[in-house]
Amino acid sequence: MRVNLSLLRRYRPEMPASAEDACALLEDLGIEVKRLQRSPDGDVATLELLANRGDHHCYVGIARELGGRLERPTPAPPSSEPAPEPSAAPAVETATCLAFGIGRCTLDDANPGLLPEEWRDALALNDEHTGLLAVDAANVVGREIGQPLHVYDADRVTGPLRVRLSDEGEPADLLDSDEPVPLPAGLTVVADDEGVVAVAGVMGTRRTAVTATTRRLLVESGLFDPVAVRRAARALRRQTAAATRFERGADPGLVRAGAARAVALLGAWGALAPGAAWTWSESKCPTDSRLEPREITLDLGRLDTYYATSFDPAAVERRLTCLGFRVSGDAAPDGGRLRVGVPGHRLWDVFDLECLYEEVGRVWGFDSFPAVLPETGGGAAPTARRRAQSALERVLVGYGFFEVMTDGFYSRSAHERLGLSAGSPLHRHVELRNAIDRNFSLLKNNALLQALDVADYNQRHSLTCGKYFEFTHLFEAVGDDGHRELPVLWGMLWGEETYGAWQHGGTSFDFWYLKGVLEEMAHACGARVELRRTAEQPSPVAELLHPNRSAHLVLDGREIGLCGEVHPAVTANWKLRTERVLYFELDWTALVAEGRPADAAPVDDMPEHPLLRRDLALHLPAGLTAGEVRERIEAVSPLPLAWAHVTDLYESGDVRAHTFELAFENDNTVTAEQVNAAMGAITAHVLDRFRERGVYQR
Amino acid sequence: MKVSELERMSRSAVSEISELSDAGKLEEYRVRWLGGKGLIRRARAAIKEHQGPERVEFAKGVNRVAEEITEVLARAADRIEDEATARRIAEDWIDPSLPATAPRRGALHPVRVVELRCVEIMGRLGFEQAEGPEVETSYYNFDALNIPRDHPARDMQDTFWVDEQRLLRTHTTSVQARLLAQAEGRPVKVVVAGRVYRNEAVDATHLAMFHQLDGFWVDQGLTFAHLKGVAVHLARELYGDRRVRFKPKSYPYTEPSVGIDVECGLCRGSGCAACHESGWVTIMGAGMIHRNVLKEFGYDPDRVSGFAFGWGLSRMTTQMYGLAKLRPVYRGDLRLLRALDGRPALCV
Repeated sequence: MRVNLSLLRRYRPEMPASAEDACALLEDLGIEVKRLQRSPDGDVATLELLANRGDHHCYVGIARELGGRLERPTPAPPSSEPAPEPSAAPAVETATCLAFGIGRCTLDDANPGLLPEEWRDALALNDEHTGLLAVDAANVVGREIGQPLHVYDADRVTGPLRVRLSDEGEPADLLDSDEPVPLPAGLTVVADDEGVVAVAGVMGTRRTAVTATTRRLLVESGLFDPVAVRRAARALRRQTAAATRFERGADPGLVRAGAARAVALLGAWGALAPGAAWTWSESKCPTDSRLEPREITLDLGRLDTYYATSFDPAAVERRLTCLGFRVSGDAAPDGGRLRVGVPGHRLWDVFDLECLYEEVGRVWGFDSFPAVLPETGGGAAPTARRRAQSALERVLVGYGFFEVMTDGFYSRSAHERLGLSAGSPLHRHVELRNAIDRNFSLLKNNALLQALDVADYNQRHSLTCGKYFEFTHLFEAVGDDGHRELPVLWGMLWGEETYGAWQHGGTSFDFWYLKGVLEEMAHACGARVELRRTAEQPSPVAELLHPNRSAHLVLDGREIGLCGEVHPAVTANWKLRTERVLYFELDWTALVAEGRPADAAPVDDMPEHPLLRRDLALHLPAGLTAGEVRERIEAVSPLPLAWAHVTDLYESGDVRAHTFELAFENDNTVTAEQVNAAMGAITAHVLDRFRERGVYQR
Repeated sequence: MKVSELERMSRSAVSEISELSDAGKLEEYRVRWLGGKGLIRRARAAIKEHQGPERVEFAKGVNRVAEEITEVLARAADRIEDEATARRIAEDWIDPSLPATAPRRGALHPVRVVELRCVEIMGRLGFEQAEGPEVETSYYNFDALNIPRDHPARDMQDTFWVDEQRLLRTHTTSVQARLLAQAEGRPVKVVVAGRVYRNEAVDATHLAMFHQLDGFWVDQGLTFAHLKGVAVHLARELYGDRRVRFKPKSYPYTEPSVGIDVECGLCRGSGCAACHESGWVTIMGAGMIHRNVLKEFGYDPDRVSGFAFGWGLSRMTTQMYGLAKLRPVYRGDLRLLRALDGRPALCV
């Protein structure tokens, strides 16, 4: 709402003289000044009003709010008393109309009247100046006292008016439309014998609109159910000033007063026919409990506690009265109780004690009260979940990963880029039915797509190395209309890492680098994950990874994620510049210590004597893992083994020579002969076991 | 062997040793003179060939030569070692401007950095971190929070709907409703941070997904003065010792409702482009939890009260890092993330 401060000052002369001070006062009262424009015709403030304060949408309402702080009452503008109306009032046939009346008056044939310049400018600020005096008068009443009015040319209305609900498809030639607009069923409308003349509280129609030749005027003033008006405005996609006002709840006390003020203005502006009386007929409407008088008891002692200050009871009474509340009771200097009657303009937002606390807080200014930090205890310890997340973050950041944040959704066409097989469960999504943009249409059921998008973005900006991760949620469609929300930690890495190796050229990331990162992550959470080749146990996401360079992550026998190289056919869809792209995703909550059995095994003393180490070089053909061989070595060793590690891999042509380092425990009694004999037994067993699969000793 | 001859050889050796610069050659001299079969050992063996005063003189002469040679050799060893060290140091010149070889760390997302900072401050006040689903029911997101169907606030938070009942949460306040529902009338003191969604067109400053943080405390005896105490504490911890102001606001789930501003850190209240010439920056919304919300979850609002506050983490991140736009932060631009890492927050 745009307000001329000079005009506002006419309703609130005690307002600060300078525009800046006036705006500061408005802001302190919750009326935000978005912009202050200086002009010779008066300073103009663009206001952002509180969402629940319909009464602020007018000059008198703002003046009254200022009056609360300044302890000044705000009188109503003068109005004109109507003569009795002999004809019947319009029939109201719907409970969505809470009050309704029609004023009748006649405009002067000879004198069209003149809209005062100040009001012409004030209406123009909000695009409400029409040049038709009767319409402008109605608009002035809306801006001045906050009662929306609608005026009709009485000679274009056929038969009596009725307030009823619209029928499905019923046409209305709305004022801003060249074509009739079909209405949905159930909107509150004002109609005559020919059909709809106005959508109540929203907009009138062209057929009965006031023109320059209009002489007999009908002034409609009503009160409509806020929700009904809101539905109508949304259905018609027309957010008019009247709708904005009615949606927040209007003042039943202004229904007659609004029409009276409009006629008074027309009279004052010289537009009424000389000697012609105006009449008012008010309809009988269904009783609505929301409009019943309301009284709230305000305990001044509790009010003092609430704001940790001591209020002057007389000042509380004065200020509430200036806001329009009816105050009575035994306000003693040391406290007491006040009975506070809610005025008509506040029936829609003042219901209980806290509402009055808010009134008092606002008119005194929340800044004027002390701040009291309550006893807060010793602080909350991080939960196991938070500790696990922090541990995982530390590991990843330590390895050079950057945290990224991606959207929770993507488009169908983006998803198609993954090139999934026809039967993949990943085709199913939780879908958003009203997304404003098709890029938001599907809730993501995998993180790989967006991980590759990040790779694409960065590679197009010349980055040669990327390591990043995200804690996010995936949304899995379940059944016909269910879903499951899955917490996921994913990471991606690609390119060459030059740090740590620039003297020798960059080092590309590979599966084993990723494996090391994942093992460290598990270690940081006190867990140990195993890797199982995905080729042996396919899964929806595994389909998108390299079948021979990917593995499931297994914790305590349960698959919690997977890792490996992204399938070359998938990366090709993104035209990435790096040959290999590594990816992992896992249900990180499985690593939370709270969810797993505590490992409280006692720690053995460290061995006093050095381990006895021997090497065993074996050719292992593709398809046979070192893990399988290591398992056999550990199983058959005649001497206790501290470990058996692969310490070297030499690949040339068909040769894949693995050097296993075997470290035998040593209590200082083990002889070289015993170790040699053990090595012989192990070697013989391994060769015997795997010879048929092509294993030989090198 | 005569002493005089030994002394002559010694003089010659001292002269030669003093000119040596090679540790290997010095070792040859040591072996020749002091080794197991060296001249000194042999001269001492020859002592017994002499008798009487001559024997004494011979022995003294041998010892004198031995001491001199030993001392000369030691001095030469020190000198040669010093020379070698000096040579090595000279040869070890490096260029410190070449890149480091230790791998560089990554970084948390700036929004997460701000979140952690907020959660840590609130943790010290006893707020425990909680979380909730992103796909939420309309009950927890709206109805339970005093936002009935057709309430204008539902339009203000343009909503992504999955179906009639499910939606993408429009605020983290939905978790507040969930936790109150679980609390069965007990006190609750929680902070929630996470993603929220708005079904609106994306531009430089508006995103369909961004991050929020909510804190709330429900217990007996909490008043607006306590809300103000906590809010001022949070503002000062986050933004330093600056002026704080409270402005009336309207939120459906709180009453009274306030917006909290801090003095602009760039202009110190005099007005600048960053604060739209107002001198103030809005940092959070807050209020006393509405009695309808308390009643919805079985609390007696005449006995139990509570307050809630929250802010846009994404917006706070742009404020703190001095970013004009929000969107690049969510683009996964690793260059930007590295540039922001470790950058001191501006706290405007």
